[in-house]
Amino acid sequence: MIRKRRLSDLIESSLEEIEKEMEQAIQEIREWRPMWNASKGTLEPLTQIEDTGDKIIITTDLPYVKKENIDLKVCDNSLEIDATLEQCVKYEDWVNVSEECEFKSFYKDIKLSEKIIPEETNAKFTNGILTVELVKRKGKRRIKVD
Amino acid sequence: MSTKGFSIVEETSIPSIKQCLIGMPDTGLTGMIAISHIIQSLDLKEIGHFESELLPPVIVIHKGEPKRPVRIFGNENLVAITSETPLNSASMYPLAESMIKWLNEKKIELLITVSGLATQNRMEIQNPVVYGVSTSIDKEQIFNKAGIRLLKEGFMVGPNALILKECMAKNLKNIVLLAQSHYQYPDPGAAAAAIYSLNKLLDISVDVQKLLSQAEEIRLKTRELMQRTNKSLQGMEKSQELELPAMYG
Repeated sequence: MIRKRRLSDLIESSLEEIEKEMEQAIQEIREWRPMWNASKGTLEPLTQIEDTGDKIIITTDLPYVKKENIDLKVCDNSLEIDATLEQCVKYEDWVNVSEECEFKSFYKDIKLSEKIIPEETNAKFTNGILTVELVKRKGKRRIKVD
Repeated sequence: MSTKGFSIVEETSIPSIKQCLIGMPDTGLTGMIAISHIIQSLDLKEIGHFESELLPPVIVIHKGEPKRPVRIFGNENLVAITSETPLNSASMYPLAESMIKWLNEKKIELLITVSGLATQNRMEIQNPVVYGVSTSIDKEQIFNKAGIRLLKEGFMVGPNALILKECMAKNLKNIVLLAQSHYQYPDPGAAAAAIYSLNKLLDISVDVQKLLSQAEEIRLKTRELMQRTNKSLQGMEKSQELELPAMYG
């Protein structure tokens, strides 16, 4: 059976779609920020965060970085990565910054969604990819069911 | 030529095309990095571009010259198509359709799309394996000669899947090369592995040493494009490629 849609329904659904698209656009504007900080000379690395249940595994792509130049700081709800580049990266014809720009390191401060045990953190650096394994704090208590 | 919102502008007209390579921003930017390196190495000249309202409102500026983001390079023997901006899912169907219609009109003999195959332990792999999917009936023979492994089970999502579907519908010979790659990090090593296979498949000799020596610079300078591509891939449920295939027929 073909049902005719009322004009008011059509307007309503179109408005909903427009509203949804606008929300997405606003969200993108809110989330967007450059992956560099010219005044500090830092670049933001690409990072992936995986929750495996009992652990949070964070991998980071760090080109131009040697293992000994990676500085990691961890506390119960954040991980800070500071990695000095082997050579400074210069952008000479870049108009987004007023002067010649030079980047010296990668920097990222990652806020964790759950509390972890800093002392149990493991990190390894393989072929330019840093992998940090953070063990979640077990805050749950087993309850006996009567 | 114009199809459903897409038009192909030939700045240098070519009557026919023997072989065509396509590398779009996708998993690990593998295809895009590989095809860009081939364009540079073989000094393929720009011969045209794609125009559409469905493409992002972007102009790329290189050495002071404004350029369209989706461009065509090459000559009658070998054409290469690449994009410098990620494509959204709305533009992909009409783009694949117009691309294949145009290539069909040019009597294309072989179309090769290049991409990455997301591999979990990629950072521990020194020599990425290149897998292949093809519409050709003699694919196993072709792959064996070029050291390519036949992809037996899995999913393909994104531009390569649509191009393959269009080739199946038009009965065109399409090979999809998928090099083991990082999922969300730019992967010049995977691009180099794909080029090794292309050298054997097409009997060309593209040197990958320069690409490998620039690997760190490419990884650093394509971070933002990778980030944007990752967002666009999320929109087309690219993660389905990581799912275990159902064990039916």
